[in-house]
Amino acid sequence: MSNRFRWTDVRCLYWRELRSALRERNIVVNGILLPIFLYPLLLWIVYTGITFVGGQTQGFASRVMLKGLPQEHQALKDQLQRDIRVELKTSGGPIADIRAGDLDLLAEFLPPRDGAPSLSGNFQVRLTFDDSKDRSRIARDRFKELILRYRDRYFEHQAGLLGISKAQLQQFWVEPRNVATSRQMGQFILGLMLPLFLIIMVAIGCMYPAIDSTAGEREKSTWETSMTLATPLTNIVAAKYLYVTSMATMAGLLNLTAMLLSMKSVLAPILGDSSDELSFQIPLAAIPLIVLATVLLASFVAAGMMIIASFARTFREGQAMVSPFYVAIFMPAMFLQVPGLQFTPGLALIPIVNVSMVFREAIAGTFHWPLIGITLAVEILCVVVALRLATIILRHEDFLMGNYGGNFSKFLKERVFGGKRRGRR
Amino acid sequence: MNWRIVGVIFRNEIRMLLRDRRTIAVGVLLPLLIYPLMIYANRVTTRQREKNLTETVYKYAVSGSQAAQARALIARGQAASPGKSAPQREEADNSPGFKIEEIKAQNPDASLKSGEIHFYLEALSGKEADALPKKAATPKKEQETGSKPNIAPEAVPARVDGVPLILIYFQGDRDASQAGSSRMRDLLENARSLDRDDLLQQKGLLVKPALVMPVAETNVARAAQVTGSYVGRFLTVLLLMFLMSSSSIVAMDSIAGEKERGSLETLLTTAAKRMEIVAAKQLSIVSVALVITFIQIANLLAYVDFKLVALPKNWVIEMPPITAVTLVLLFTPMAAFVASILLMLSAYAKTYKEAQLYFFPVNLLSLVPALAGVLPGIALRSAIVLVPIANISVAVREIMVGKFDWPMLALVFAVMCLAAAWAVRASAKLLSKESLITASEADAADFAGGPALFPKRVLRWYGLMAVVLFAVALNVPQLATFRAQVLFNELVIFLGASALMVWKYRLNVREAWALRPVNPLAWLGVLLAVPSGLIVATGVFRLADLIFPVPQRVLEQFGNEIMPKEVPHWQLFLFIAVLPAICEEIAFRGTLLYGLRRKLKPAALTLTVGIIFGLFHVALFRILPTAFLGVILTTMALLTGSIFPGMVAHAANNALSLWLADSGFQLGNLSWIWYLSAAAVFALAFHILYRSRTPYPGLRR
Amino acid sequence: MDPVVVRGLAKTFYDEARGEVPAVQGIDFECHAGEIFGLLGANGAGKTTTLRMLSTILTPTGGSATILGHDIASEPTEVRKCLGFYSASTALYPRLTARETIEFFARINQYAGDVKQRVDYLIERFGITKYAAARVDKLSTGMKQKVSIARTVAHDPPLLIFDEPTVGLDVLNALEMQDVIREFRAHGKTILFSTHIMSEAEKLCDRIAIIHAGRILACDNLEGLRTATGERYLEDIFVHFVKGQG
Repeated sequence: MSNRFRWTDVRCLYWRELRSALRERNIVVNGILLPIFLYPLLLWIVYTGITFVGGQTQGFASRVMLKGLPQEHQALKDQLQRDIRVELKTSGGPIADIRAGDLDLLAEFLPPRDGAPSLSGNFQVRLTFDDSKDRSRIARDRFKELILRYRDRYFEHQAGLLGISKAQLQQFWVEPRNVATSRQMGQFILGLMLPLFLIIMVAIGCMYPAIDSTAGEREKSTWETSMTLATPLTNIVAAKYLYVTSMATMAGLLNLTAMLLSMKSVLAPILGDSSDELSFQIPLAAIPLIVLATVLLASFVAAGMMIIASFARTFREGQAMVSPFYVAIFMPAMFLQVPGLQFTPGLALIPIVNVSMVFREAIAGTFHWPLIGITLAVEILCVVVALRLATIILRHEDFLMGNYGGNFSKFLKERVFGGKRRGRR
Repeated sequence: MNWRIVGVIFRNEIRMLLRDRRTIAVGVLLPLLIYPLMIYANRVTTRQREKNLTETVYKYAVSGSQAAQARALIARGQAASPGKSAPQREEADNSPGFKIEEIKAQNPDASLKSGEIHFYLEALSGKEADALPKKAATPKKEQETGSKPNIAPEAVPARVDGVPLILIYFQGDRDASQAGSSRMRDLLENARSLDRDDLLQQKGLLVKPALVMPVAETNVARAAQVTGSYVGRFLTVLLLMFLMSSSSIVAMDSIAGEKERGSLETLLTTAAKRMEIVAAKQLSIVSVALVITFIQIANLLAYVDFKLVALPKNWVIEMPPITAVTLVLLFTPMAAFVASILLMLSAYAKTYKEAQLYFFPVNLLSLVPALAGVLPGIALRSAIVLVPIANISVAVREIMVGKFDWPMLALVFAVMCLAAAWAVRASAKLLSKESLITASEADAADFAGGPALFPKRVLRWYGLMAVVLFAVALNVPQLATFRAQVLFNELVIFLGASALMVWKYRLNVREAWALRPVNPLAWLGVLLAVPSGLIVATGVFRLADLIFPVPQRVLEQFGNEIMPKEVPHWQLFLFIAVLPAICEEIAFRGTLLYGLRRKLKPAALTLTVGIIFGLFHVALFRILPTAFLGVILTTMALLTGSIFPGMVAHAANNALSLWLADSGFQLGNLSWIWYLSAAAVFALAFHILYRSRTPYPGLRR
Repeated sequence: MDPVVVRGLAKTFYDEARGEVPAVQGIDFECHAGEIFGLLGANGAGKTTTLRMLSTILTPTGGSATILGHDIASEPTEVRKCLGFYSASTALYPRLTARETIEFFARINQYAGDVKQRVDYLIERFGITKYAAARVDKLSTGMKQKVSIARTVAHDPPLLIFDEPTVGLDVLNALEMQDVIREFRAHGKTILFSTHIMSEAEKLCDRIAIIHAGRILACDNLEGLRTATGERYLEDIFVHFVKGQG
């Protein structure tokens, strides 16, 4: 009778937790604002940065000195003079000037190589530049491109003299064609990036509420207040757990939505023209599965963080205790960033990794139901184990009163596997 | 300053930290694992991908009227390259190279989609290719070269009419398909090159094509210098990240945590001066930060040494003693500056959690100046030497390529030390404030709500407005057009939010928006201020350009965006001059100024409102001149006590800019005499405003 | 039946350094309906442990107790419904407003009547109206005290347990607390009250139990204690029993 589960109590406690949380700046920032607005902010920074740096890089005229340009190639010089990206200069000591950064490139036109039968107007070009300076490197690239184009026109001319038409010279033309739809392309990119970001966001969204509702309450001395409420402890713990899980789920789903909305803009400066070919949408059929997987992921992360943080006496201590767990959550997912990785039964048995693979496949509209089933079973099992562990922990009075001086691993060693039963209720 | 006392507090801080084993574990040990693990994970995934792509036997099909010719070309390309084709999988050899296998497919498109093949080729004759829709033969877009076209269009590679075409169809959302098609393209182009050279020689070209205008390169930089140029760009950012994270371990708890525990009050009642307390805490933060940073770097170097983290092949890292010592001398005051800033945060925050909340944006913002080293146009011998952190970034980039500009380096060191000293002094001042101890209890504003609460909430509102402005502008395609964006920003965000604030906090509209009559003489000042202010603002922009040169292309692009050619003049006037003048003045010189009027002294108030106004004008390079305009308009509001002069000035300023741009007159090309003269007229204008002033009521004295 | 009946109640803690620590060693007492019963003892005497056992926060290691007929070990939820527990270590939830705090406690402790009316009444009664909408973390110590009292009686429990309620309060607030406790008694509540301040016990308590080292050394009204010891002042009476026991 005394440990009866009352949903009205759980609901009352849950709303209290949620109301409190939404008034805590850190939780609102980490759980709501960050997932939503991080990407537009990053976008602005990235876009401004790339435009600026790109503009900087391309905006400068390359200071080039020509040496020994054959008379018959005066057209090349004229072309260079017309090109606003190039500024022709002269120098008494070009190598020293290049090293000092006062000149970007020295282009020496030398006689053709030994052994080459003479060809009217042929030359070889030696480009002297400083690879440790961006401007010099860019000057080299520009000049090389110009020379190659000049060379191509030269060949066309020579070919014409030999009776070879432009078409014959070109031989054939090769063009790639991407048959993937813009949706498929978008899904491919999303599938690579989304699972990892989702896991990180769920963990970030979970961390503060988990620590705040356990160690934070101890610190504020409201833990004891809660223990005097006319409801069993299991109701209180259930309400806290539901609250932390829902905050983590909300962070994950908000992040997902924000990413889908802003992904195109985020990638546009980097992809340039091909960004028009992308469409970032996930199949409607995948949405329930993604939501379910997010909830399960959040449940697992919430359980882990709450159990660990409940051993702390202050918020700060709680953060320090939870940090390794936080790292352990997203590390495995980092090893999965291989395009074309297959979802196997082996991967389906590993928590977090399996959810990550389910996300990736669901985004691409692929559903391997047996593997999804294994994933759900594994995640549910982990949550059940965590809750069972929580029940065992809560039976220990010294833990409840904050007198237990150890951490989670010490507790496991001593009380769960070590057989010590002191301090049990 | 009693250094003995400082030593006592310092030792106490270190002792407490060393007994906090958990913090040490999380702050020191965990990053030792995380960073190398992340790099290792990246390496594993990259290798795995490469391995997958190398070992794959790429299945393809050939179709089209010229299929036979395509097959011949493939054979030619294969013969010339190291990899061999594998007609049957069992016979595929394991040598690295491009392993391909032709599959006979009835419907290549369906086979590609189903994954049976990785890509397929469609070889078309010249006539068939000419008959394709124009889009099929469009050449690649020319990279922008500036406003004057100067490369002959025919120089851009394009298919000549009558030339056969080979289309390579691939599935872009499959890594292997993309990789395979790309390699096939290279193979075919290589074969083409060989065939073309053969043709030329057959027809009597006297010299081998490879010997015609060959390009050789000589790099005057040593390998170490080249490596240094890459490393130097990001070294400051990386170290700053390490310093920030390691400093925060101690800094956040240093004052904010002590406030929460109540031990700060105890410390403040001892014989130690505020400055001594702050100095000791700062020393402890710097020591811990430097030690942890050194450990992190040593750890990374160890991983490199043990080949767990691979550097790019051509990299040669040299660290002669002079470079190492100079770097340490530069980074130490940066560490002190970072420590001081975090200490200020900790002193300002009421609790440890609040301090952590402020840490994230400060951390992000501090990385912005640190990226100055990435910009190629900035040299240390420029105004950048006076900007903390940015100066170090540029200095490090130059040092890493072996360029030691000693006078400037000394100046960088001095600037950083001064910046750190200023921040320490500011922390000491914060520690002297009484509200430090009594901060947690509320005043009547929190209970009463309404107008009394508005000053406390005003900055949050503007933060939210900024976020909504960016987020909506960038994500809602319907608002991407000029008109829609202006209407949304002006009416919904600026005017709408201001009205919402007035309603929510029950503000008196006339007071909140300074809708007061103006001394007639003040209008003369406004009349003089508008044209002279525009010229002066241009001069300010040119000065800013010396530090952060703005590419011409960006300016032109911006010009096209704010003055799109298809919009009629009267609409441009409405959208660029009238609407912003009304809505933005209400938002900034109205509600924002009203909210902050008691929080800051007039000078700080003017700067703050001006800068916030500047920040709302999205593009980075516009911030400074717009902030300057904002400062002028705020000063007008403070001197006249009314929003109306600012509205008129704002509208006139924008209208004048529009007219000048339309007529092609460039204010940026004026000589410095003009700017100086304008500055004199501008000063006169404000003198008139000052003499005829009706001060803004309720300002902080 | 007495609202509180305690028989042989004991609590032994296990400390890793010190081993078994007996905090309460078999105590017996009853509280009569409508009285203020004081537990008087020095720090570490076992007062807080006793009250925590009675409020079911701790589980006894020996003996038994009933609160309004409900056994504390087997019916902890029913017990907590019948009592309001106030202690310096039971803080308020900082991010709730005063009104929300009282409402929450009324609901969670299953107040039988109209919760809204009850909350309005308590806000009015304890003069919290001005800051009812303010968050608890913004309130002064005195304001928090009032909200704490209000939330203790939010569900109108017949039994109130006050564990050193005036610790940390200034003179005026302490006096106000004492007035409130008297008022509760006047309304028919039974109050179990612990303190180490002699004057407080003298002023408030109908009967006093002197507790020391986990045992009850004496339990009677003030007159009875005076007669038993021959001392006039409670301080001397306390010392008499403690020194006599030592």
